[in-house]
Amino acid sequence: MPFRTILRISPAVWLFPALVVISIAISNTIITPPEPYSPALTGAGEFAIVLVAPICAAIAAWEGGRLRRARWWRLPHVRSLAYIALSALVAPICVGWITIVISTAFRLLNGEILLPDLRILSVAFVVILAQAVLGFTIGIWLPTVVAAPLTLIALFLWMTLPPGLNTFWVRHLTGDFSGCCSLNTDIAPSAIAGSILLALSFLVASLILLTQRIGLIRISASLLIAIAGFTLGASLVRGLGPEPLVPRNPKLLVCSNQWPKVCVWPEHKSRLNEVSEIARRAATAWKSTGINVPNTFSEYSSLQRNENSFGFSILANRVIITNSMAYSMLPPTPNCPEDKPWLGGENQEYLNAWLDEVAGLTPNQISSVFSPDVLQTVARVRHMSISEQRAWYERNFRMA
Amino acid sequence: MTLWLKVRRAWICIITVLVTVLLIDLSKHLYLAIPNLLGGDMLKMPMPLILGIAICIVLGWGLGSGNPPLEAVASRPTQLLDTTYTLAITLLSLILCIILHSISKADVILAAGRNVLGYAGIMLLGRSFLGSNAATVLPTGFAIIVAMLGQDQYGRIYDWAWPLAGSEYKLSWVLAAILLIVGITCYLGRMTILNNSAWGNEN
Repeated sequence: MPFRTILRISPAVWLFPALVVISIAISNTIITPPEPYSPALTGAGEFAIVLVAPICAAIAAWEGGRLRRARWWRLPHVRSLAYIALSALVAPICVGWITIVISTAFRLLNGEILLPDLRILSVAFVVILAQAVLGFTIGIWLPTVVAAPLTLIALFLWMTLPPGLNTFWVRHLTGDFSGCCSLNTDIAPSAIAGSILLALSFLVASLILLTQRIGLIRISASLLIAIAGFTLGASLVRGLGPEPLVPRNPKLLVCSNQWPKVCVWPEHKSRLNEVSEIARRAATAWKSTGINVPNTFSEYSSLQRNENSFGFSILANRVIITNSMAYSMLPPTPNCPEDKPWLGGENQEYLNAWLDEVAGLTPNQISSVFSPDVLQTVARVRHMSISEQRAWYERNFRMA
Repeated sequence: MTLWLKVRRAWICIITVLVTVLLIDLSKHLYLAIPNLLGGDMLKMPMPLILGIAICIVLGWGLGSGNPPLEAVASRPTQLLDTTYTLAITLLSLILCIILHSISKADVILAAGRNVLGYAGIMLLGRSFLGSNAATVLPTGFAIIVAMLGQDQYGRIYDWAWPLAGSEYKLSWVLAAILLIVGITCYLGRMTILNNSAWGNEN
């Protein structure tokens, strides 16, 4: 089909401007970290897929319906079925891809970076392709009046129902990665593989049915492939939690040379010297009271001895960074059962406030973080001798 | 009459109503996570509120399956039968939802029954203004737009977004009923125009 004809007759082309505006609005509903972190911004931009993919599939079903109504599909024709299908599908697929690229580019440019996360973007491309081909197949075999709305509503339910379910793994198969990522996490490779596998299985299952006649064997083979793809995809993502995330590769950390060593993610490199200086002052003050101070403060959640993990936002000030380092000095939060409260939690507040004040923060600076009772108690402790303060700290540390 | 019922796919429609109402009951605790385009957190839309679309799709398919020029000159009052059929299917859905509501006490089932009335009205409007094939896309698109734009950033439902309102809001029932009445009126009006033009062609 000539390109100009595609532009003239395809509903995808007419709907393109509206789709772009809605996609940008949808992607803007996702709050990302203020740092220019590509997976987070790409995940937010790609979130528009929850609507874009079903709409492209519905348009493809409409295009399939045109061929069905004109009986082009079943009658003898000179051109191959693949060529005919591609002519009808090129507009909805390209519009879907371009829309996702635009909404992602919009988020990336707002975050002042240029490179998208190609893994997330490739999942979006495969999902749009698979859903469009599925829609086209439905359009070929069902009347348009049923096919287009059925495709739209069924795929919209598929994209929006899993996040509302308590079964976490299903939501990692849809191709929506809006939950990705905070700075210390990365997208789980198994979620990428699971989504692509499922989408490809639906693509192949649909292609099997894209013939002039379908028999029981073709329907069975198609169903079998779809079920196999779903099962394999599910087995890949079954172990994941509510978000499809894994810890970020610690090899990417950028570290300082002085004591204590401070390691931050590349997005925080511009503030490494400042944070390093804050850490040096705090660690020196804590050491002077006789408490154990680690040699390393890292943004990577490490379980190694002598290495504390802390975190901060690119917008954080000295008070927040010092408080985060002080918090990293406390015992880790235990994994309590729901019916057994964590009694040490209260002690941690007092310890944290004390560490903050020793590190040089004034009660005024931390008054928004701790209650007046905590600050009054810490003020009384601070009037004691150094050895008494250390004894108070160690007693509470054991209880926390 | 038998042929008319067959052409309108009455049995498929009745089965669809039964299955959809069953699904509405089974999914009463399920929610869709919808992005709120007006800001705020993700919206939680009860799944049954959107399922009534299935009934409208099959109803629209049946109504579009006839042969309008032939039916326009038929001795039986086809347009009256079609109107009665549409009303019967929507009322059957509503009555089944009322029965299930009285058993399970879930408010959302009653709201889903109300939505079938409104969606059917929009589908009939679609038939009148967009044609038979696009008719069922209209209520589907409306349901999705309402899901994404029908609540403000604090989760308050706008008056026009009647499909999201609880069954206790009388205005939502009034709006759904008005849509059904307007839809039927437009459908009858369009059929009358078709009839006249068919006779005009004859003469």
